[in-house]
Amino acid sequence: MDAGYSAPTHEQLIGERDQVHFFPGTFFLEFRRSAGALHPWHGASRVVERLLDDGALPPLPCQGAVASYMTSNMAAG
Amino acid sequence: MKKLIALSTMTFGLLCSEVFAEGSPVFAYLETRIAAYENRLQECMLMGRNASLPSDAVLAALKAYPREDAEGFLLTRATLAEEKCVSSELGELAIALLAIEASEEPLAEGVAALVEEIKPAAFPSTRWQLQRHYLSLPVEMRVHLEGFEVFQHPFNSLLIRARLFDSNGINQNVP
Repeated sequence: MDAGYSAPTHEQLIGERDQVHFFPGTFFLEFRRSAGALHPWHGASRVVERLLDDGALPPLPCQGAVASYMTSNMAAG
Repeated sequence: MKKLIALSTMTFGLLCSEVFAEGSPVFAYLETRIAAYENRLQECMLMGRNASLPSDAVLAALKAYPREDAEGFLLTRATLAEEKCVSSELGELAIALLAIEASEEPLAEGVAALVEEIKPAAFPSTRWQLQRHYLSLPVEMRVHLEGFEVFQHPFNSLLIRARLFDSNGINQNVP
């Protein structure tokens, strides 16, 4: 294994909450959703949908510029 | 006063347009690539979500391995199958990001910000972690299970996992 590589734990692989941030597809869609760029959430996994329903998804740390862009454009439009 | 507010709002709007380079070809190109990836990703995830249980032969093959290995295979292979499904659009997005970054022209602030935001979102470190985890699984198991057609396309790993391992599952004893 490479130095610095940390293998995902079994809990990370099977933990529902971790899946949101762990799996690239759901992570990207959640990023786009939280940036306001993704409207109908028709592609979400059932796990993400449930977490969204529960309000359990924390905000992502990397949504600044896109969110600002969307807000600006929606305000301007 | 209203005119002043309207003028300020318009000025702010124009400033926003400049800052975020909304009309620039580079920005539009990148947005197109992002949208294409996003749309395809949703299609592929939906394919996986709607996939039915594989045949009993596939379930039995999975069940023959230790639970942790089988679960590791299911969840990482599902990610890789999804990645393969979006590979064309994801590849085009990667090319766009690299080409824009390599451009000798100075990037508008909005374009640079969008590149910096999208890159870690589309290529999080977990992509490689999952790949490495997959490669760390027993080779014989991977080769055997990769032989099943079902694992070449998006599949519902959670459904299979529940069928095989949930204590509340109705049919735990897969033949």
